[in-house]
Amino acid sequence: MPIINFENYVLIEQLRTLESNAELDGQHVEFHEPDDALSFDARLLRRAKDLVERNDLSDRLQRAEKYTHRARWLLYLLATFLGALGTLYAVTGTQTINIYWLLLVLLGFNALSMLLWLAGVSFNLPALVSSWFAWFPQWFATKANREAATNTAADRAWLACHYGGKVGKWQLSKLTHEFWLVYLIAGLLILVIQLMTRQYDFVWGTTLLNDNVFVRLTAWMGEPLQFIGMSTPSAAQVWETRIGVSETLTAAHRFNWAQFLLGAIMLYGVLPRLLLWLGSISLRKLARHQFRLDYYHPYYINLQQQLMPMASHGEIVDADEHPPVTFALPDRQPESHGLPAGTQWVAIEIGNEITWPPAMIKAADSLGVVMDQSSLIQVSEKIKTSLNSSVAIAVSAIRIPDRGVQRSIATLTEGTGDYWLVLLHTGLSSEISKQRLAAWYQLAKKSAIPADHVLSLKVNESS
Amino acid sequence: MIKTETGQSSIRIAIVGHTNTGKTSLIRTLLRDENFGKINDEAGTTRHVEKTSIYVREREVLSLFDTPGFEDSSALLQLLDEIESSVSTQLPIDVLRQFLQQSEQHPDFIQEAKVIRQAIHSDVLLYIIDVREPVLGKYRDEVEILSKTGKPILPVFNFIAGNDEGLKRWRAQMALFNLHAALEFDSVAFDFESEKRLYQKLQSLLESRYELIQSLLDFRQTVWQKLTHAAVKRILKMLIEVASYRIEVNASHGTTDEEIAKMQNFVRTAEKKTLADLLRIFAFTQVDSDLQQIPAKDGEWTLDIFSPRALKEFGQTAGASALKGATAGAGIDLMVGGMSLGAAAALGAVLGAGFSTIKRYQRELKAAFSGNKWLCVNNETINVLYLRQRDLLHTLTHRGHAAQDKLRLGKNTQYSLPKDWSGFVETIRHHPEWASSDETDNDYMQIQSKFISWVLQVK
Repeated sequence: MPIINFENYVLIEQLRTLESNAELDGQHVEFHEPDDALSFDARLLRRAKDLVERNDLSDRLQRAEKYTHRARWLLYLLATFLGALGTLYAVTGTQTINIYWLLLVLLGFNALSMLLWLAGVSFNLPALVSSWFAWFPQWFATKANREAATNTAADRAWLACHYGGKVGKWQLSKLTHEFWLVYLIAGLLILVIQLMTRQYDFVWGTTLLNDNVFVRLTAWMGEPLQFIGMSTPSAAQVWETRIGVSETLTAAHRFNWAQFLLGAIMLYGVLPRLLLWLGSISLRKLARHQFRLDYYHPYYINLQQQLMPMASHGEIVDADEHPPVTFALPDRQPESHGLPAGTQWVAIEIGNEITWPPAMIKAADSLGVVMDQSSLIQVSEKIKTSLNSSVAIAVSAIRIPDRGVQRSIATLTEGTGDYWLVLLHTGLSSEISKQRLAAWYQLAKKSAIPADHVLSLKVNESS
Repeated sequence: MIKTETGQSSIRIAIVGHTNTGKTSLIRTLLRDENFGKINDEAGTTRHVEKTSIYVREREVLSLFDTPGFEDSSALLQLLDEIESSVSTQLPIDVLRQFLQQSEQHPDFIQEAKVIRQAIHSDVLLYIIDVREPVLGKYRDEVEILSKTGKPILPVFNFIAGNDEGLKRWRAQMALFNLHAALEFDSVAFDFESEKRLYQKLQSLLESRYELIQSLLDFRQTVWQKLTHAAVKRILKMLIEVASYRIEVNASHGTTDEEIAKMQNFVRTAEKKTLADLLRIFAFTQVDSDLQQIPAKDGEWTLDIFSPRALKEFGQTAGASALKGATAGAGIDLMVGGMSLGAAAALGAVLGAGFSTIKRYQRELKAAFSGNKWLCVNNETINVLYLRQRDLLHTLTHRGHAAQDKLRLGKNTQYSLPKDWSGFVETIRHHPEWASSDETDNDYMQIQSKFISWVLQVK
């Protein structure tokens, strides 16, 4: 279960747009995370609230809501005005009420708009209406406050969350139904007042349609009204109301028409709108409950890496108390030759890239290759028993001189001979990195091999 | 003992191996963190034991311990043999414990002592092998020492890209120690499938922790898939921005250099922003700073999108007009545009609102009435943008966070344009509003899923 609600998500999204539009710099603000296990949602919300407080953003973030609220009231005023106007237009200045004209004004337009709404919801037409609704509050905001014309990123985010996607679909539906409810109720109230305070005769007429249509329509619309105990005109009374048929109506006849008219507006106008309004509120609530931000947007991915990384940063649990001795980089390159004649050769841990012995070294001059402890002992024995005191220890220049190599060299140079360290390489000697050379010189020093006894030798790469 | 919120302890994994085999690199890649530890091409770079954790949401699942490298295991093994012969011990691990008790008497083995101490306190050991190295006696000695801990050992073959021979040699060597369950994981040339296999191997080694590791595997896979999708969506957004971009030009003057430059800068900026976002998605913050200067740097990626080489590199014609990156008047057909807005908006227009359509095409309509033309980004540029971004995506999804080399692109030019590419470009040209990724728009969602299937080759 998420612990944050729709409004919290909107707040977070508003901050995202502010930061994305460089209207707010939140990336460099450090937040101290507690050790408790909080979800990413909760961490984001805490960051958002912190940013709002630090930057005093409350007014700016609530601006869109404030103006949208005002726009909604304007909309209700408009609906009230139109509903009242339509009714007044149908009943004022005459002692007669044109029944079907009034029904058309109040219910007909309402039904048409309901069809449009239904088409919009069925065909998912957010673009059709949301552009109007989303644009209007923004326009209103900019008109109402010149300063508001700039820095509208937060407003846009607020509008996108409230009027976009599924939430927007039901928010717009709710607004639509509210508009028409207000329109119908205003019209209905005006009608009730007029009917209570004045005596009207009811008429109807048609030029194109058959009169029977209205008789049948009245009977059909009246049936549910009768069911709930309301009076409706009989077929004969409908005929009597036809313009030109009867001059005056009885009080009971008028009462039936008045009840029919009010009942029809209630049952076919207000009630469906009310139900749809309630339905829209429920669906909007559901959509808001299901609303989630796209946490795989680059902005949120970045925040996730900061606020709730998938891995912790390193923590030293067993510290090294003997920092390594640093040594200076060599100021010399190893010589490429200079070995005394008859020098004997030993190779240590040469890699697969070099074949031992290389072409320039006689097989007879090679005492062997040290690859493990037993070969080290063997080669060491050979050196000790060798008649020639000049020994060249060949290593692969690209390999790392670790303590193992160092110990091997120390073992091989235990005697009193003349020792050389030869760095074998398959490319140019200048390609050996300075750090690597320094490490070899350091090793030579530790093994009592003079720096001028460190040589380089180019060999062919083994095929 | 590290406990998770469910009370189950996290799995403790010691990353061990010879010095400079890529232990820290492996952790960097698993963490997606370029800043973890210290990487250097010399012995003994890591000198502390450093712990880091991998989470599934708020829950700690793995504790990884980066250890110093072994350097002289042969001598250590000799010392252990001496300890074994001098002390009556029951188990090999007792020899190690004895060694740890007297480790201060052996200052040469301070680093090795840290490794052994951590290995004893771990559930499993990942033994990292640089397959470029020859199989030496000291490596065999390391395995022998580690096996005395009695902990399961999983050999991990690192730096395997292009080293088949070395890999074969090392596999055979590990088999001699009965270590048949080994893993190929290149910390530099990353492949998510290898990471999955790592968790699967851990499951087989730590049967009792199967479910916990499975939760990690599922989580990491979901996140990886979502990150990849997020990257593809970001590329699509950029293509929409660029394809639907237009500049109104005066028909009587023709196109000026200033107008062309304005359009080119728009494309360059769009590509740069996408690059930054993609690097952020895959947590490459270090290369991010290196690449902020594009296209002023050397290397393939830094090649200016409007250079003849960039076009040729990606198989596009490098004619003079193509090089400008602009094309006059993309033929904004209101009818086609209206239809491509989708049936819903078309119905809206019919119903009399038509606001969206008018709002969307108001500039075009204005230009049509005033006799002006439109300058759009040409197809060749859009093609190169697409191919370069695919290349970038491939590179980033196959780059470990331990990689030290500069990000170089242009080597995966085997990519070609999808079959229905021109129709796709025509469609997105008419929908600048899709750049905000409206996931409630069915038409956009269709285009998006088509694009994702092209890029990720998902059927």
